[in-house]
Amino acid sequence: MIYKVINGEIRVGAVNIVNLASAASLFIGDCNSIVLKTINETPPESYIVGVTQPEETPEPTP
Amino acid sequence: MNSRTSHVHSLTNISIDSSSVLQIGDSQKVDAQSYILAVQRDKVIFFENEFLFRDYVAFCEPFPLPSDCEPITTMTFHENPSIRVDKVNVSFAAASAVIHIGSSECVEMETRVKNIRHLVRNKR
Repeated sequence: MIYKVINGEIRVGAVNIVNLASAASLFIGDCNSIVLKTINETPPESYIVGVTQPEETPEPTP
Repeated sequence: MNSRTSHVHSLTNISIDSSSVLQIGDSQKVDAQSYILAVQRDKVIFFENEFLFRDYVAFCEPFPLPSDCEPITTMTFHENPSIRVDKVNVSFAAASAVIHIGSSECVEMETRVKNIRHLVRNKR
C-alpha cells in the first residue's frame, strides 16, 4: 500500500495546556511512528475493606 | 526523512518535574514510561515495604505490540517547509511528560496506572 501525504501550510495561533501528565506529550513537528500504550486499572477488586496486616516481604537484594 | 522545521514564537511553562522532558530541537527516539500506584486509605498509615510494583499484574504484564500486517510505503511532500506556532503555554508537566518542539523518528509512550481504595471499616 502506498500512502501519499501532501502537507499544506500549518500555522497555529496559540496552544494553551494546563496540565500534561503521565507520559503524555505535546509534539510540534513531524514524526514517523508513534506508539502509545496505557493500562488504567480501577476495577471493583481494587477495594480493600477491613484491616490488612502487610506480610513481611523480603527486602529486594540490591 | 524530510521533516519540517518548527518555529515557536514564545513558550511559557510554570513547572516541569524531574522526570519530564522539554525538548527544543529534533530527536531520534523518544521513549517515556510512567508507572503510577495511587493508594487512598481511611487511616493515613503507610508501611515501608507495602504496595510494591511487582505484586500487581498491571505493572508486570508485557504489552503486545501491534504487528503491521502489510508493508506500507509513505511518501510525504511539504508545501511549506516550516510549522509555525505563535504562543505555547504549558503550565504543568509531570510524570514523564514530553514537550517536544521539533521532529522525531519514533515516539513510544507507556503509562500504567492502578488506583487502590482502602476502607478500614469492617465488612457488614
